[in-house]
Amino acid sequence: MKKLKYISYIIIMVVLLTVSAQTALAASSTWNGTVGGVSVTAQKTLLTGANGWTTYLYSRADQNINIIGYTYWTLEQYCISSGSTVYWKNYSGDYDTNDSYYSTSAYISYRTCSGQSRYKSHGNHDFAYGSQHKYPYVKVTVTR
Amino acid sequence: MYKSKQKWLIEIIFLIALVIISTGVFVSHPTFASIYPQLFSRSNQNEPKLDPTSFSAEDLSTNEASEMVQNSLKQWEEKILKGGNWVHLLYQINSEIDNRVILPDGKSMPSSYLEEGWYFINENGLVEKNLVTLKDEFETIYQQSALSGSTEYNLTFEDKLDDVEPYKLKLDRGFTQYLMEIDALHIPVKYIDTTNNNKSIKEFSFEEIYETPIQENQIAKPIQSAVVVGLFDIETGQMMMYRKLLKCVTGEQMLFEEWHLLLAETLPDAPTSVLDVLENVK
Repeated sequence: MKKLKYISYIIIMVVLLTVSAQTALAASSTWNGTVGGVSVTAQKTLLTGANGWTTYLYSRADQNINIIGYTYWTLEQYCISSGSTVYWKNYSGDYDTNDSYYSTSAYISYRTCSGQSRYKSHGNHDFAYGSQHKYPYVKVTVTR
Repeated sequence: MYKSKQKWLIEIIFLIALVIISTGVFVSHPTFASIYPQLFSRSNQNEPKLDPTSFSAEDLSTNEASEMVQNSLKQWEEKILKGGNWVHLLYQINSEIDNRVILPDGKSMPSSYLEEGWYFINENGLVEKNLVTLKDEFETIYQQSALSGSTEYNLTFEDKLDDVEPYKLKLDRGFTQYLMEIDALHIPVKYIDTTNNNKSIKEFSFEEIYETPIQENQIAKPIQSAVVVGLFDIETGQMMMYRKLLKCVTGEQMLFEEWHLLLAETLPDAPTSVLDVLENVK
């Protein structure tokens, strides 16, 4: 099951990178560390398409840990020409217990803008194992 | 150890094969429907449903449509984007979808508002300074921002963005880019010559139909398609209106976004009130 999750993750990343090279803009930001001696990775990816943008949040661990997920996740479209936030949403957090992988995603249609927009996906991930708890902050932005 | 190395080797070969196969598949099928149909794959099985009175409608490819749109915009830009002058634009923006923006006073920003912008155009045709205000018809300001030098200040959130370079004003607010980016999907664009308030109008419309309904983050029900319309003044080339409707699988339609250009003018000077704000943010 765990291997299947990793393979799914790899397939998703291959898809994103391949697509980004051909049709869209994509960016990814990653934090690597350990919690209670277990290697963990926090990652966010943002991909722009014709009609909207998609962002993915991944929290991964080398083995099952007590808590894996995120504590908050904020998505934003900032129109640079008007200097204003035209879309904003905050998710207050979610997690799985005794698992090694957590992922979620969101698709948001574009709001129009007289110049470029900056799309931002950011927030703290959530990892706990043994007596240690970590909340790495990861931010990814794309300007289009 | 040997078995472990062999296992790793197999996994690496598997991954390389996966990358090669995936790349090959996507090069020949850019919509990669089998992996993420709900996000990226669209179908043109159904024709856009247009005004039945539009008997002069013709189908265009997105390429043809974007070329016509660009020609109109070029005509409009030549009229309005004059170096050393200010461009004053006023848009009415409407939406039935909550933008979820919470203002510093704790209130939600309405989804429909006026956007008024004063843009100083430099000799290269790029915006060098601006003051943009999102407000209601009674001049209640929701957000205001000023670009001066390379720094943009959002005066409402007291936030700033550095390293902003002079930029090209998108007088179509991204409509051309949208057309160009859906070109690979072979969606027909309906083109109609029509009239509105005695003005000759070019109307472009298309419908993106999703093979698998999209779960849009802002709407509870899955979306089946997006219907997009853009209107241009034939005489001036000005883009006057844009509308995007989202159709749910349940048949409901929602106005995702609509804008009307209410005012567009080019002036040698901006009002003192605008210049004062820009002066104070330096």
